[in-house]
Amino acid sequence: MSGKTVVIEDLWWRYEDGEEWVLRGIDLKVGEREVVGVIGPNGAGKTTLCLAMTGLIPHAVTGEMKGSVYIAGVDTRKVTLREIVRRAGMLFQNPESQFVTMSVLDEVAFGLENFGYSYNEMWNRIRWALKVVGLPGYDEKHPLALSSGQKQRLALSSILALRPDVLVLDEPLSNLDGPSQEEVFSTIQNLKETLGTTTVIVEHNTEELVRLADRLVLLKDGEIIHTGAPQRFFQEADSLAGNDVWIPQVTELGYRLSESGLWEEALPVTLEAAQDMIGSLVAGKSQPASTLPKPQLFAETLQMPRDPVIEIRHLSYTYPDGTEALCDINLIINRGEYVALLGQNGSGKTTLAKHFLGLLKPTSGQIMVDGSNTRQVSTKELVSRVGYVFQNPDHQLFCGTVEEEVAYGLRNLGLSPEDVKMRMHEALVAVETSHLRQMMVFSLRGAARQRIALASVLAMQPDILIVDEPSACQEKRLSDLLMRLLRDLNASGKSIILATHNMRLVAENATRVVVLDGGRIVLDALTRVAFAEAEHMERAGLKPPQITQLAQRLADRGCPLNVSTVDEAFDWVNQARGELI
Amino acid sequence: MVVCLGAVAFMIEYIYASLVLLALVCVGLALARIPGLFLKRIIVAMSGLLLIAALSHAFFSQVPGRFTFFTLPWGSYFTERTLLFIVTFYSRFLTASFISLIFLCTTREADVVVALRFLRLPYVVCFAAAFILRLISILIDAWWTLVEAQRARGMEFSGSLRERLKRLSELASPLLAIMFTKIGEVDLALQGRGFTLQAVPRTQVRHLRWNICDYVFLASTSALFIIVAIVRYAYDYLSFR
Repeated sequence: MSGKTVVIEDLWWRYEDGEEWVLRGIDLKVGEREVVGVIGPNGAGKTTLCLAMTGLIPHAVTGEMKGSVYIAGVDTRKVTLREIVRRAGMLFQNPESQFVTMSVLDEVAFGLENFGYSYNEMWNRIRWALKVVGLPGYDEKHPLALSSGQKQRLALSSILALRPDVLVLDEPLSNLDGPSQEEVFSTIQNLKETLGTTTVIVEHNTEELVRLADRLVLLKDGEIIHTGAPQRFFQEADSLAGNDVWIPQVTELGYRLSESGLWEEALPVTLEAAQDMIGSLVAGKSQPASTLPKPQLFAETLQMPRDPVIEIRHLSYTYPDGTEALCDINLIINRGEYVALLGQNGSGKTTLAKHFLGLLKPTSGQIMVDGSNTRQVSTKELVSRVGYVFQNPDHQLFCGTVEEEVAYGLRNLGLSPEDVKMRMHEALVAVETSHLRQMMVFSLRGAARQRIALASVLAMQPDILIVDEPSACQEKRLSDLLMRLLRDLNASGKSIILATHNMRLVAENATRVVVLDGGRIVLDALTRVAFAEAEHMERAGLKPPQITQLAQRLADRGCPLNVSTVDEAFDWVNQARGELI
Repeated sequence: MVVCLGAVAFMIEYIYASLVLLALVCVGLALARIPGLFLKRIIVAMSGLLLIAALSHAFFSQVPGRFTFFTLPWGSYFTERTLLFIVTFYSRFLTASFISLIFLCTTREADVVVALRFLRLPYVVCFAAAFILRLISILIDAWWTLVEAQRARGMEFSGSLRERLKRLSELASPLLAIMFTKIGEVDLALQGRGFTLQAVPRTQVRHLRWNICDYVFLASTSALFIIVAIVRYAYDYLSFR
């Protein structure tokens, strides 16, 4: 098997500093022009597999390898890395870590320069690669000055310029907002259709992945435990959920209907298939477009008492470089509320959240946190009331051991050693990491680091907890744990502020959403109401959860536009069928 | 050119000439459209350091004047000309700093690297220069993120200088860990695009060409440097009086 193919035969790999095998007997064949999606929990070996498929393992990473990897028919161990790189290109998870030059033009040219392409050939390829990803006209821009979606597309363009036979993409959609995801997604789809590039994509977002992939592979603990075309792959939805896989919401709905005996055919994996499924279940129930009522909203029972814990008046903030990040923000968050801050990358969510803690002081206007003006109190005073979980745990952990890390904030609060010990224990138990207390923080990987970062904030028992785009939300098991903890804290009266792009989590957890666009609040409403405001959401570059999109497609059958969870959709289908009978 | 202009700023000690040069440089700042808030922060940050430097110089020197405000136990005294000295000191440093700022804000790092390649320095040296510039921005970002993370858990960077230094030193190990991680990531990205330190035939996409205004600007700044040096040191004009 040669051409634009990847063949992996009984591949085993362990890193030089590790005892465990990270990959265990992987057998995988990716055919010419095929798009294979790889999913699995953190630590499953997905990135390691990507490195092996691009020759970086074993050439640039040290460790022990058994088995073989053939790229376009060439055994990666028998040729140099430069020869492999011509055939297979890898897009890393964080595009910023991939940039090695200081302009878009130089970035795309870098690989071509290394291979000594002629001046004319280089320019032809640069123009082509930038056009394919939709970035012409950005030649002199600094890569770090681009938007998140543009950065990812530039990184992709710099790989494409070498015209590899095989493209390996490691979580290209992670940390991107809706429109940026769509930009990158369309680019990959375009490549598949026009160039027929053989592609392997590692991605948590299965709802998007099924639109693109010909085949899905589930990796767990270094082994492939399930594989198949998307349609077949998700037929075992229940066992997949137990393996930390995000099941598309429409598939979950199909599974619920199938469990209750209403649906006997294949489970849907796309919106279109789900629309057909519901269409056949509620056939005969329709409303002519002319008599369609205003969006039907579920009765709201939430009666939040007015007890402001954060009060923002005319807040504006301008960064030292002159960037106006927030403009005339007015907002009240009540005690015990669960609020989601939504908006595209760069809309001002993080800037706003940092003001709650006094990490940033308003350029104009004021913020009262629990009655204290953030201009007049120090961050040290505020942190006993406001906890902040950073997006990236690497940015939050700086102590030696896990114990020291969790105790750090508590000692700064001036607590007694007994209290420090007790709170530390409670926090570590809450995130299920008490067995790691003596471990060195920097020796921990992935999910464990995220849990410790969370524990270090939970231990401080703040009344207001801000969770800013947690990467934990990408992994199902960790996301479930985090959301359960947040729900419990909220139930005990704490205020939760969650900034995320994961609309599913927002729909299932937050009671209210505040949508930011260009540093201004463009929508502030109860979650259900907000998701029905398709126009506002769209203008802010946000896409409702897949189940809400399905509901909106079924509006002509009387489905409420603001269905936001699978349970609600299931109830509506039952109700609609009842009405038909 | 930047070196020439910076040297000119330092050579001119005569207050009026120094202020005129500062005014001209401020016009340059306006033309370069450097944000006012950014400038304000730089001036505030520099002011403390400059004040300490100027005062320590003033308190340990003797600048004769018509009015002596006070005399210090070690024999130094403070006159109206000491004040003039401090103003001149400020003006010279601000001028030199603003010249560097205009250069940094209007010249892309990529151009610096291309210029190095134009000087026919080995590729590895040029690439190392570019990579260091890249690392500096990574380091600064990582530094501020860690400071923010510590503040978010109740650490205050206040207190005595010793305490502040102690707290900042605690950031060294996580900073190093982040740097090593980032360097590892960049290393993989480099190798993933065919980069090697071995001698392989390379081409380049940018070709630097000098045009008329480069020659004119280089000639005029060099001429200004020579003239000011002669006037200052051969005829003793433009010195502090």
